[in-house]
Amino acid sequence: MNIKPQIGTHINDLDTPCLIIDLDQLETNMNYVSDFYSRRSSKMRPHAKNHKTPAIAHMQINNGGTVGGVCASKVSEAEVMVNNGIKSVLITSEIVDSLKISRMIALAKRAEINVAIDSFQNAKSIDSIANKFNVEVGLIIEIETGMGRCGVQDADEALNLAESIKGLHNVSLNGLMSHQTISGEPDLETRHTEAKKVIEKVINIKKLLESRGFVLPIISTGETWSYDVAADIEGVTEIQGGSYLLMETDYAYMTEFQQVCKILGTVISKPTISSAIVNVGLKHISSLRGVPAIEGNNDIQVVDMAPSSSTVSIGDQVSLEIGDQLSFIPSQQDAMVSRWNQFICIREQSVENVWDIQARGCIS
Amino acid sequence: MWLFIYNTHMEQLIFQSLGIKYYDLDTPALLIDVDLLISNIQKFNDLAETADISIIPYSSIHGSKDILKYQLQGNKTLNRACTNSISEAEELVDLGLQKLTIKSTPISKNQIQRLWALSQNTHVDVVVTDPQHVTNFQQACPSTGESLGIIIQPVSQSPDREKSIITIIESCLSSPNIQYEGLLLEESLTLPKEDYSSLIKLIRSKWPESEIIALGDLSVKNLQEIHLVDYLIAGCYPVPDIPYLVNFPELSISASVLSQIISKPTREHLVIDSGHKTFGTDLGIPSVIHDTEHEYSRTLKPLKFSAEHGAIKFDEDQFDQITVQDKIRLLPNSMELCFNQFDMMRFVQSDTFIGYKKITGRGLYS
Repeated sequence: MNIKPQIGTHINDLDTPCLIIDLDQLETNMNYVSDFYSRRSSKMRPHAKNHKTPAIAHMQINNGGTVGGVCASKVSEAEVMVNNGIKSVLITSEIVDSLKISRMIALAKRAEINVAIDSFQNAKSIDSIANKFNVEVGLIIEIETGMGRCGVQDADEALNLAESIKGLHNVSLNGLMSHQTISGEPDLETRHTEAKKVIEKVINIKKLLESRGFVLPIISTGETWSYDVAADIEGVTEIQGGSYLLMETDYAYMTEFQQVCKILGTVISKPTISSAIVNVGLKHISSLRGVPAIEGNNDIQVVDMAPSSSTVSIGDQVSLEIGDQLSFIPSQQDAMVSRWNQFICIREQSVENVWDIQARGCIS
Repeated sequence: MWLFIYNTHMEQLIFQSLGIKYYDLDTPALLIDVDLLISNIQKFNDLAETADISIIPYSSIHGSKDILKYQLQGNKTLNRACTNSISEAEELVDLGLQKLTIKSTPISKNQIQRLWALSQNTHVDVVVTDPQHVTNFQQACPSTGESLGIIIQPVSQSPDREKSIITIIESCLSSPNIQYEGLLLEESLTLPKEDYSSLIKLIRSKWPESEIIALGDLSVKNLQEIHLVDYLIAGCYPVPDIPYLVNFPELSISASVLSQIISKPTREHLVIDSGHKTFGTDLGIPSVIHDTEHEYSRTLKPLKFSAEHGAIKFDEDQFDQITVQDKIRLLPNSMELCFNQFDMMRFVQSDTFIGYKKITGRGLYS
């Protein structure tokens, strides 16, 4: 059973471990991005993979500065969003399986659906199934910009793919997309330089295709680390931002955003004076980009993680006893959220709401 | 025959007919080969028989009642189970087990109340590491006559470790509702082995009825004091992962993830539809299982995984053999973290899909 805490429960009385979000901080991040994009022609398309929660997706859309829809990584995630009233979804993974394509086509009868592609064979499969259901699906060519994953490699490949799609009747080429990464803790200048360099490849391909008569209403690129750079690059229409909302230590250098999402744990044992065992482990929080940080105290550090517990070291100046609570801030938040069934929403130290993570487990 | 499962949210299952080949299942899919699962359980029980030790299944590895039921049939397995959390133990009450052991010490008032409530329905042992834990339980003890068993895990590295353990035991003995049961000794796959023999002898000399329980499957082969140990808490043997199979080569791959190739963007790498959110790669990335239907799978080398995808390298001369939409099976590096990503397993027998089974303990953390 997953038991929801009562509204009004004080944070100190919550059963741990639990996934909490601070609503004031959540609203701060959401408002920051809304304000930023309300003054620009490009808009945010929030990535739903980061929170997997329609309630949050609606908040993001209603708050403004978005395209009025979301990104989803998988068909099953898109299903949850559309079933909960989201009207526009860009599926950012290639969907190649006929069962999944059929499910995606079914969604396209009820919402605007665009999907990433990087091969003609895939476009043809989608067209063939869309034809049976008499709907049209938008295709977005994915451009490889350094991730080493999917995507066409260069302008020639993009042009060839675009030309071949012309002959299909139940799909329309609606645009281009890319996703890129940056390592370390780049300063503003480095972020700008690196983002422009990679996104320029997409813009150049857009210009090439437009010179051949293609109309591309969607140029979707950028992410949290480049949300500000991409927004001001001419030709970019929408940004795929995800982490900015709940945040993670990997993006701690983006100081305009607050760390919203944490795992609340409890010290269950104190084997030595300088170490403690906490009931938060790898089943609860991801360590993919390093161990989590402890909120508000640099003198307590995670030194080892097992599936169901962690060992923390305790600095000389810190008093930590069995029963004390600690908040763990993730290094990578979307792989953490996908391990939980609900967000416990906190304001002023008390539970204000509990949201089901309805797309948890939606990996197909 | 169709299997119907209605899912309002969480993993979005689709209708798939029983009797289809596993290869035709929607991906990513957590596959369990039932015959190999049963065979692994039998082999591990054989090892336990050789070591003359009885097994208590640790169900938190897989979180599945169905797998636990298979484990309980083992000839050297007790009618008991160990879980990490109270909520997982609550989920197992209806199995009618002789005893449930909870490994993570409940601390909050609410969790301790639940612990006592659980002890109304079944015999419960709880692992403690500090005298304060016993005090907390005593203070919340209801007046309705339930009793709670205490198992002490020596975690302290300090020289007065024995003194601390004796304090806990004496504290239990002074409380009519709390019974001291024994010691839990944890053996790690990665840490150096610890010599517990003097501790065991000391405790047994004072309290001869003490149960001595080893935690960790590897103990069946390596625990130095195995002859002093009564029971072994073990969990991964039905569904071994990459590091486990290194230590137990006699076991077979019974659990794997079926993934689909969604892109072949270059002549040397492909992309599958499964990433961190499928495998739980915190402790390492998965390996590709050789599949005779796709001979190229022998040469596939996982490169890196993102939250949603995996990039896999292949030999360039295999390019024409690999088709987008092909499916491959991968062996997770940590089965416990991988099971934690799924709501459902797909049971398979003779390569044929025989049914969905719920991972009943998934997400039951507190």
